[in-house]
Amino acid sequence: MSNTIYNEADDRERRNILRLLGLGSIALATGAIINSEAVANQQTDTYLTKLSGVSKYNTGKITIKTPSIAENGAVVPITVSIESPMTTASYVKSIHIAADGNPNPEVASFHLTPSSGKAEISTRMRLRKTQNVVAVAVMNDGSVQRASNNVKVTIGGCGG
Amino acid sequence: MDQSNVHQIMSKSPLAAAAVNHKGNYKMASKPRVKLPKSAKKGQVVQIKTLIPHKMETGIRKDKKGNKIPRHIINKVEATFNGEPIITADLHPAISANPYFAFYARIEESGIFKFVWTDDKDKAVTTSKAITVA
Repeated sequence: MSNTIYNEADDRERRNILRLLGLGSIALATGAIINSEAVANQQTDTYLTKLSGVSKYNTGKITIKTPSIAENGAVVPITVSIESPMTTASYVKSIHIAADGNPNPEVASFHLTPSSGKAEISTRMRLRKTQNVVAVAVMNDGSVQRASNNVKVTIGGCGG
Repeated sequence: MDQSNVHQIMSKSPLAAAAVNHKGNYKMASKPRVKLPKSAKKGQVVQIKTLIPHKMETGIRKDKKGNKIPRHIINKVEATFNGEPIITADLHPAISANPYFAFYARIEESGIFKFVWTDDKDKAVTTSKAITVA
């Protein structure tokens, strides 16, 4: 009799340990995913901060236009536009584009002048996987606008 | 990227047709294409589209033997109008092959646009286009 009780308790303990182990490995796995994303975001933020000189951004005046689903990651069209009169008194000095899921966050930096007339640029970029594309615009008064778009990538664009 | 893939991408844009010649061979930075109006009204903002054939090798890809293919990209594009800067761009490997750009310029007088593309080997390709204020 006592033997049976002992076994039951043992069994329960064994199951609990298994359950704990299972939960632990799930936690570890999610932890790893969140970490790698956080590291990528941080790299992008550091890069953009280095270029724009600020870490706090305004939003609203800047728009990114990308396809929401890119079939071919090797050629993803992007248009960044900023509401600005583009006069010597008020103009966009530079536009920086970054992508947080690429091996390196840098994509391109554009330096504009009042003679640009309109603060809008279009180009085509490579995206390795589904990720956020971030654009910041530095105004001549030092304020910085930021926007980001998520792009789903069907076939990655880094080649090889 | 294999040749058929290049064709597919290229065929989407008439501007991009210059990148692949009639045999389907890939040309290195040679013939840039620039599209802008021949004339404009004073103060008008015009759109300029540029494209230059270049494979924009990222430096991350490996060849069949597993050796890294060295990075070779166009890292700078400059556009000036009568010597005054309009826009400059610093490029990174995340820009697609055959870099395409569209941007704007406010035209106050007749003059000449000059475009310069510079690659990692310091090879520069220059082209000019005139615009008249009617």
